[in-house]
Amino acid sequence: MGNICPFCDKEFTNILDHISIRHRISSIEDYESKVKEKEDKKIKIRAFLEYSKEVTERLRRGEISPEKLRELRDKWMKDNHLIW
Amino acid sequence: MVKMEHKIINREIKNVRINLIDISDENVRTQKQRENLEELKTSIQRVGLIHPIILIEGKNGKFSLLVGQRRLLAFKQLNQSTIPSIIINDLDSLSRKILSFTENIHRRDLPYSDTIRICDELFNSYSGSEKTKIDKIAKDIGISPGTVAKYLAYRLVPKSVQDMVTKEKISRNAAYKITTAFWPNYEKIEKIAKYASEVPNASWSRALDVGRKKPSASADEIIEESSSASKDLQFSVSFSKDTYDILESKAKERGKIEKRDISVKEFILQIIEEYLSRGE
Repeated sequence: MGNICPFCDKEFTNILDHISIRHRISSIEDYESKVKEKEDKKIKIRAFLEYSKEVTERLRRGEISPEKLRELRDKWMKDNHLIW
Repeated sequence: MVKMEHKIINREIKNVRINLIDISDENVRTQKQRENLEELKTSIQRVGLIHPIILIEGKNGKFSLLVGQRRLLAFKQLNQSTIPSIIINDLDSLSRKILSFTENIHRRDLPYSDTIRICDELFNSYSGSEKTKIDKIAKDIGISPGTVAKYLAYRLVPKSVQDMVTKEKISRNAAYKITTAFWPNYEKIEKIAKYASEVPNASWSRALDVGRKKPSASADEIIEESSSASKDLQFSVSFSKDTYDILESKAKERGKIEKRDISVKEFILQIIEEYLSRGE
């Protein structure tokens, strides 16, 4: 099992030393909430990539313009509070 | 029977020239004089000397240091010419030793919970990079940056385990090692910490090894295996310096691979276990 940080994917020597300073985590609650935040973001990114694939397909079929594609993607990100 | 009187009768506080002070034979601090000296020097530079050293006036205007070797050393290293001192009446040799011992034995490590709290508060209040903040905290409270970093990591030790440290049921180092080994499983950390408070160091260290080898084992399984699977055999071995140096360097190499500190003792234990597990 490698010592990889769940937040920055970097290697660490000691998890407590690393996350307490580098990620400013000061309690287990803090840790769990940040892990959840990270998981939620991963899920959102996956959903966005799916949506993006779908609208790009519509662009290929000529159903929407490139401007509309950008507009739809931006709207999705805004509605789902996804900050890249 | 001679009645011993250890009480200080006369005391006088004044600044004494450092070059007039000799270290008394009765000063009980014979080791660790230089430990954390940088922190003491920082504190002296920042707030001055809180507790004067204790001297006995001798012949020819010289003084004998009874208590405060580290403070004197810090003042010397800070190139000070005088040091605030309490001059007491001369005491018999035994009384000098008792006074020196009593003064030293009342020393305590930094208060655990209070130091965690203050480091946490300051870390959250200060701005700048992690390093800048740690350096500033270190300067402000007079401890080394490494110690500040350690106390910031101690914040992640579960509160119940922090209480055990405060009540001196386990050491702060044990609490830190156990939390690191089983992070983020608080249930396991708390159970192993409780186990550590009841058994010798070697037993809970074994629990960490078992936990490392079997990450999915429950706390109860870890405790059961570490308490039943091994028998302590204590013996001492003399190595030549060259052999010891090789062992030390190999332990360091292995520590790098495993990304943790491995002592020579642990390394020897590992190589014995590895040799035996090779079979016929």
